[in-house]
Amino acid sequence: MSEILLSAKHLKKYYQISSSTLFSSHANRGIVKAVDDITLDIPRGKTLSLVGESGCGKSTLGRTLINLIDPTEGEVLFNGKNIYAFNAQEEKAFRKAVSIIFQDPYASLNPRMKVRDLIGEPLLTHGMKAKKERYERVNELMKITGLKAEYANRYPHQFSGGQRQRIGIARALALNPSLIVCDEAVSALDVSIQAQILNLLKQLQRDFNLTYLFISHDLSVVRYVSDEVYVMYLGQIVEAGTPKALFEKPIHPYTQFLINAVPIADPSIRDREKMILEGDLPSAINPPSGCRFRTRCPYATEICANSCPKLITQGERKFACHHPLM
Amino acid sequence: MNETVVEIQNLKTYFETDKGFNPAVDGVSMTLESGRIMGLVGESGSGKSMTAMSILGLIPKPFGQILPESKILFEGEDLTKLSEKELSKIRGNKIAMIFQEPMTSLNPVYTVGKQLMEPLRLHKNLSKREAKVLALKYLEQVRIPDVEKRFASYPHQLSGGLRQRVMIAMALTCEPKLIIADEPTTALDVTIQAQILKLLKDIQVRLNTAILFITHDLGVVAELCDDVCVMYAGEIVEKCDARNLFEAPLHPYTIGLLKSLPKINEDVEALYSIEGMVPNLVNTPVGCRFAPRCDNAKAICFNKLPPRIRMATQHEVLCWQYDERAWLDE
Repeated sequence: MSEILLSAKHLKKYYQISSSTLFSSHANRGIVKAVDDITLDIPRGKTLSLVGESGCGKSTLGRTLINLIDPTEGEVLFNGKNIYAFNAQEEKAFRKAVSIIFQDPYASLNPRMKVRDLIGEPLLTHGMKAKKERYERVNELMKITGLKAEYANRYPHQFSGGQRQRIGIARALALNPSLIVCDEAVSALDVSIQAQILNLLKQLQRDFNLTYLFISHDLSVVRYVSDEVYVMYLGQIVEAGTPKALFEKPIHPYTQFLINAVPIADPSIRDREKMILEGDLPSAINPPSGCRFRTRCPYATEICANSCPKLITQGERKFACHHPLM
Repeated sequence: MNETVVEIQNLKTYFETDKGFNPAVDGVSMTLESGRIMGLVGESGSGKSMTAMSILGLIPKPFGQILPESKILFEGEDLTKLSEKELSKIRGNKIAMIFQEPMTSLNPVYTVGKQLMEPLRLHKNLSKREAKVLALKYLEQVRIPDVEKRFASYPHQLSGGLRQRVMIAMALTCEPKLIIADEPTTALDVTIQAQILKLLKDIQVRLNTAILFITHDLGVVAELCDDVCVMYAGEIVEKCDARNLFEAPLHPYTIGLLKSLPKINEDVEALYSIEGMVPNLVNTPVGCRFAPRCDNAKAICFNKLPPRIRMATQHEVLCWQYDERAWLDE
């Protein structure tokens, strides 16, 4: 059992929906439970992935875990200390130790800054004032991420999507972080470029003993990069396990549907029995009572409407379901 | 029973830029048949959407231009030579299009019903009442629950999946001969994507339409398409039966793409990756456009345009590797 780097305990993030909108004063009042009572541990040097459909709360969870969003309740321990109770100095050290790679490399880089200043910005913020020293580190980072040294004086618009994502990665690496949150970091890239970036991320993890929190909706990518996968549905964890176990023998019906829906690049199994989930994700404002998946679940019975299943741990697996597939 | 609906011959769509007159689509030929789904795959910038836009005459003018040697034959006419007025009688009527982002392609200030009735009233000259009956019928066909309510809804009141169903219903209203679907499921979650793909397949079987399905996702091609064209830098580099593409790919680019896909049903230790990136077409390489990224490239690949080779089983590939002339001097 490896050491735990980051650990969340009963983390909650609720959003109050305002009682009036531009056009009506009696709009639906309510609370969105974007993250609802989530407990998880991220071991050092490993990759933990969060998967789920849009609106399931995976990005909110990712950002709450590194204190970019204030939680409603619960705590997050980083190296054993609660991150929401940090003093200014600890806070700064924490900001150095965690970084984030965003989805859209077009939107996340300042178009008016040169590459070397983009990558050097975190260094400057954290006190590396001497230009020479900073640019040396920038050069080193560019080499690590596969960017040619002569690109240092270019602007973001002169790069392709894959190269911009490399710049984003170099920026994230600048301060030798121990945890990097990759929020849909390869979703905007073409397949051939996606493979390059995934391999780069894996290489960097080995070289620098990095810990990743990998947020993605793409299950095939998640299977490739993760050590552990958490499946989310409407703000809750419904199942977790190693990628092999989870993808080969899902326990929660939702996981099974999700896996079934992924198109497989093999026409010879095109006519396999596919289970297609009907309907849409229910509104997060008034989620179904009991198990939140029950409205779309073919196995649902009365108990599912009456009580919310708890996340149970069995060996290496976790699941929250009254009718597990096992 | 599969008849030719559209035949594209040597389509060249070029753009005037401040760096010269450059190709987006460069010599594309393909035949779209009724009752078959043609997949057009490629990475961003490969020219797949521009091929679709060329069919409908939607190339942004005056910068974009379809060169005079290009032909797009549809019902005995060459679409590239038609006037704007003649084209508008075909668009949304005999050839319909489904776009990637249903939120930006539906008009936010009109109800779903009004937008659905528009093509019917325009192309078929139906009265409001007749159009409504038909529109409701098509909403039912795309399996939208509660059609009366949805007919009166505005696009923002619908989920992404429902909006895409509305787009499909709209495409169906005039019973088109060809439906062009440009990345129709890319913006959707996998579970919703599976629903929409199933719906498109059902429609194609029931109505015997030809579908041109544009996507970057090889998984979707494998699930849905009958035939497939792989585009790279404005050219079709491989064309064949969908099954063939996955079982016996020929072009090094296709082979590389298939190897670089992460798989959900098996553990992969290290992914293969094609080094480099898609060439920009401002300075088109002299020889094969894929040569700089190709593991098997020979000297000839950099100097001479590769031949289009037709193997047995109608498998076409644009590559020197399958031409004996390339090996003679070795």
